[in-house]
Amino acid sequence: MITLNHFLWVAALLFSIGLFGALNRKNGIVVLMSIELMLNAVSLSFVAFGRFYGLEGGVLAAFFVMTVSAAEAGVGLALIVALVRNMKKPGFHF
Amino acid sequence: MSTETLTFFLLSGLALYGALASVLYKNLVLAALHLALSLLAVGGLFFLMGAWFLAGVQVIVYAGAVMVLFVMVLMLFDSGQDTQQKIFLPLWVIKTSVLLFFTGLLTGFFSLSLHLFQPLLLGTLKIYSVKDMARLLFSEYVLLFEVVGFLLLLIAVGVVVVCQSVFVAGDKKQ
Repeated sequence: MITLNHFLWVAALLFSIGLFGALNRKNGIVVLMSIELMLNAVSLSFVAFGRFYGLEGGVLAAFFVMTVSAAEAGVGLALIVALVRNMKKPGFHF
Repeated sequence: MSTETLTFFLLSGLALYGALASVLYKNLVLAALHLALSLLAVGGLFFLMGAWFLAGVQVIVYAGAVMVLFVMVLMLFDSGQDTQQKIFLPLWVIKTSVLLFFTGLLTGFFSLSLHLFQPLLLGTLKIYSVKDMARLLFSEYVLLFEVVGFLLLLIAVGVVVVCQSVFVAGDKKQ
């Protein structure tokens, strides 16, 4: 029998792994990917709470989090592209 | 063990494996692909909870657009390897223990309120259809919807401005 706690465990573990990656890695691309992972974990917990309490706002909140996260990933990648092209170094050394 | 339980554990196992692999791999393309796997697994978890439209949007937007964008940027600069990554064992041990403490803190809060949550029952599963979400988006959350649309416009203009400044800087150097 799957309870809300199971989904929250998964979301907490995903968030912690994303936090670990965002703090541990020096590469900018991996930091952005870890931030995506963290936001994904948060939207998972939003949907879990919405489902277990019968709230439709949970799914909508996850929808908006997903939109903002995709937009932020686009801008972050554009910034990294600009940084690499201006620094004229091979790869991403931050 | 029902199929629902089995599916849940399989999808969460895939999600956690993909997440761990994406933060630990030195090969950046493998890291990006494992993150796509993790996002697909979380999309499956959304599907299991009855948010079908959100699961579709997750697959299309996250695994289909965002991760493709990541891989495209990696291919553009030929950065398949993260050669600067060095893992020193003592610092890594410290960071891992901090991570475990943080995880324990989070899950400790969940264990305290164990009796409050009802089990997931397939009989009471409510499917969040596109029609329901559209009705909500245009009635109760219309302001948020407009603000997010404005944010997307801002992002598009911002990306063009950032990339244009790169080209302008390149021309000035010549």
